[in-house]
Amino acid sequence: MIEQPTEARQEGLVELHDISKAFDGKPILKDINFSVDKNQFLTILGPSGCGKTTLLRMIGGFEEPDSGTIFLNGKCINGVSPHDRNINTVFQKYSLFPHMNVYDNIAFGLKLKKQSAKTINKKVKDALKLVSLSGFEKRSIEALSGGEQQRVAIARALVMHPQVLLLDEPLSALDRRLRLDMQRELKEIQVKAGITFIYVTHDQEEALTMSDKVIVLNNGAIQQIDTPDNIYNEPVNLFVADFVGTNNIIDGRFIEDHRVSFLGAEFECDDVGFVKNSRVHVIIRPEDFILGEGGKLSGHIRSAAFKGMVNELVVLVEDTELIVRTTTHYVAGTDVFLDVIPFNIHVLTEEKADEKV
Amino acid sequence: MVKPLKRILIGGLLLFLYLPIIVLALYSFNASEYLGRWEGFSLKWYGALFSNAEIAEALYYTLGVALLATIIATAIGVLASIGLFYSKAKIKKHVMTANYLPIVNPDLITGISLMMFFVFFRARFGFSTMLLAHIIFDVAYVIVVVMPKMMQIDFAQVEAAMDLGANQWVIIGRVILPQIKQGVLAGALLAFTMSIDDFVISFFTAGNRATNLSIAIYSMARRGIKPYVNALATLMFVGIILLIFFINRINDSKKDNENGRLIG
Ligand SMILES: Nc1ncnc2c1ncn2[C@@H]1O[C@H](COP(=O)(O)OP(=O)(O)O)[C@@H](O)[C@H]1O
Ligand SMILES: [Mg+2]
Repeated sequence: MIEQPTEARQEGLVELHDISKAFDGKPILKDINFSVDKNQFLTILGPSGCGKTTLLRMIGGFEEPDSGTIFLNGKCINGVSPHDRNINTVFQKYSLFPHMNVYDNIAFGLKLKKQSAKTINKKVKDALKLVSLSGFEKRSIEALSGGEQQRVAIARALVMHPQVLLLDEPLSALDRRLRLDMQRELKEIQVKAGITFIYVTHDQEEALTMSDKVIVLNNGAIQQIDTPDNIYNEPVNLFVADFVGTNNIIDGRFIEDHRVSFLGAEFECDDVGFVKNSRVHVIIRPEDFILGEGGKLSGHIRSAAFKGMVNELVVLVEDTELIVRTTTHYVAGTDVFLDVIPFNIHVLTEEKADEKV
Repeated sequence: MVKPLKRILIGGLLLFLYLPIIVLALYSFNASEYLGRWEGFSLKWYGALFSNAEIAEALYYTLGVALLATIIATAIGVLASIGLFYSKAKIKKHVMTANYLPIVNPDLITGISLMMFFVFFRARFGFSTMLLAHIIFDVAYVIVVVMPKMMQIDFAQVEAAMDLGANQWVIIGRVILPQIKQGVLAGALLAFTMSIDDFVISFFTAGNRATNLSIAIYSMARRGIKPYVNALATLMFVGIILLIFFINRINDSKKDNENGRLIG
């Protein structure tokens, strides 16, 4: 299909159509299609090296796609320079200017726009307030903690009033506690500022907690575009199931609609439409097992570890190790029965997964 | 236990390095005309020095060449460094290697090859040929001093500036130059020092119309050392020591300078 770059579009604020990109002949991104709506928090989630940064750099204008079209407000922005895009970027390593103080960093773009000193002053103050750094104007960049530098970088981009803010793993350099705080803060900032965020991360927890929509990327190809809920509960293929959260992926056989067998037992399930008697993968979340005195599966507890609120067990059923989470206390070395309700059984085949993508 | 030994060694080394210069400086205050005989303190050789027309002219050549060469070489060196900053890592590496050539190459070879180069182009030897030669080796020193500072800049800063609406000139003026300015100043001072310090390359590229201080001292020394030569050498030594002191001050004032002192 040939794109009409000038054609006005009614759909998303940012749209990518059939974007492909290769470096030195090696394909990095293949046929990327997605759209982002106004005020949406979109996360691109994928392992390191899968092409996330490259994708973001193309939206920001630092890299040109080999083929395909990028639209902003329905207008093709291929070839448009970064600062003519009304899109700003928060870079992975913040990239603040170390020879300027906080105020001058944030005011940098506004000064280039030749805005009046008064306007700049007000905008910088507002931006600092938004990122909870009021009073930090005169601080030098080197005197700031990682989290504070991160917030200055966000303020410096937000002050330009972009329609879209691109963030490349902005929290990856922070320690866990700070990262959790910043996740919440970022989400608040996004809502308060009313700006579309396109956020890149390899951390599934981050993606699921902050986003309205998640794109799972692997090897330069989109695996699934969905709400965090669906990504978590309805992974369309093994990669997503494996990458997003800890999952048990068990070999099984699809007997007929609503019936699947695995680990030597037959279960009722909600899935339909697979080939009868075909080999399938069964996905079960660790917290979805029911443990007790009775159940279809009998297992032996290999190990038990207390992790915060839950016990994480490794249970051996036949020759398969299952990861099981429970709030009840169990000790290693004992036997236990397991069961699963139909709703929590998720059947997948690679073929079906490919169809859905 | 090791410490005293270390001190003695370092002290001995410094004494060995500086003793000849100290002797020279002492004799420049000697009232006697003869080396090796001390006849009391006098400033008369300094007086003789300042009334010597030959030396005044040599001083003009030395300072003139050093100043002009420093300004031009600093400009070229900084522009080249900015160019290298934007270049691919491979190109950067090769150019930096090539840049060491004028520094490690024996001055004699550089001097003779430049002389032949000027002869080939039928250049008129004098101030301008000497200036050109000095610019050539000064550029190498400027790049060597500026590049490490330049490499401390994360290239993503350039993209961040672009993202905020900066064009190339704004990026150079407001992002790159402010961060390398100490390197530029240190590079310029080093170039100036090297220019004043140079004898061999000047000797081969000045021809017989131009004479700078080092050439003047050399020719005077051949006619037999007059005590005012000691005075001149002492003054030059003090001048260069001061310059080096400033260069190191500039580098020390930057806390995170992991390259240590450049010279001295
Ligand atoms: N400028 C470039 N030249 C050559 N290869 C590149 C370049 N940028 C990225 N790559 C390659 O593209 C792949 C994806 O990189 P990137 O987009 O940075 O992945 P991610 O951000 O998901 O970790 C990597 O294999 C990387 O080596
Ligand atoms: Mg990346």
